[in-house]
Amino acid sequence: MILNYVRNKHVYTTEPKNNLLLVCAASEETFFSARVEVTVKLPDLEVVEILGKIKRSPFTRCQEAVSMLPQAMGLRIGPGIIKLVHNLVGGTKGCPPLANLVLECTDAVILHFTTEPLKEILKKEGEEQIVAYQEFLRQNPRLFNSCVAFTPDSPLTKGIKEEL
Amino acid sequence: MVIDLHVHTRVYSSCSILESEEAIREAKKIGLEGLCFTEHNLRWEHEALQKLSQKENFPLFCGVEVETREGHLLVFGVNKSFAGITPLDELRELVKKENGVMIIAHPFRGFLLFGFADLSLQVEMASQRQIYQQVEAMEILSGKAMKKENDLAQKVSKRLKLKGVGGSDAHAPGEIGRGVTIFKKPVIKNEAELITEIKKGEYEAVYWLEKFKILNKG
Repeated sequence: MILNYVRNKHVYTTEPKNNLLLVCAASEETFFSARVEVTVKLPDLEVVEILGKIKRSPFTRCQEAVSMLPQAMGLRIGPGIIKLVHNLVGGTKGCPPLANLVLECTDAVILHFTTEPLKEILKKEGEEQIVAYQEFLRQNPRLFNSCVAFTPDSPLTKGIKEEL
Repeated sequence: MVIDLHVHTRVYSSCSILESEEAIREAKKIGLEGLCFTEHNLRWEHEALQKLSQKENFPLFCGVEVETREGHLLVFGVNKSFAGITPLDELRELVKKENGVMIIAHPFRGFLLFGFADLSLQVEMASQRQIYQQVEAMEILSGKAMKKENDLAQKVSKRLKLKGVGGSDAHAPGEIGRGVTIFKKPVIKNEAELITEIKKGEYEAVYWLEKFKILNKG
């Protein structure tokens, strides 16, 4: 038996206009094909519009779950959103792959704002780069101990643990 | 009376690693006068809470941290547990019927994520959320929020003329008392009295643990 399975995922954000940021996520795979568009209001990162379309899915309930998407309107992108999206759009009554696409969009919103500052840091070298990372950590103390780079033993956190 | 209004124990909150007895031990050690267990969607059984309070000779209160689409709410006076995501309108009705109170918990926690500081949310805009019209108070000092986030909550509560409480949102040892509410009333005996005091608004939110550590260093 020859198994053939292909999966492509594409997520992108557009430049904010009138304090609105549009994010799109599309999943194209052998069994499931869908697209979700999320509009987020800035600066409070509130989901103000959410649209979705499922081209194919092995589950009928996924088609029905598109009508559940508006329930995610009003959510703010921040702590707790994963659980909320899974509860509102995914779960046994909803469509988990569709919920995942919504979460891909929320992730993309965060990346939209995070990649540029990180690129700036990467342009620096040596001690200057370490200092830049430390300043970055001061501004974002939640990242402390959140990954290997920011563990208490890392040179990037040296001397600033007490401040946090 | 100094009470940490927002504590999770491992008894009912699977995300907490804090034993209830340990929480009480820590509270006594740092000079708190009461603890309020506010588990996620679940409410302590009255008898179990009373028994523990008597055993430890320490005032214990109970509320529920209810999950809604609009955020987490500390609910007092409603004698039931919840499941999943509760619609805000439904919750508001229930609380009103039972003469309870609702407090919006950590309203801006996690908001100032990396890079997002540039988005500079202004107090005026931050005050516009509908949920703030539905609550009796706001947690302006959360042990789980950054100082900047608590400061914003404080400004928003002032603008909306909402009373501000403090709570640690403790989930682990060492977190009790990061934020507390100091009530003007020296002794609050039960949940009904606690609700009355929250409604009255005669209290202030304080970074208790931080102050305790500084005082004890000196």
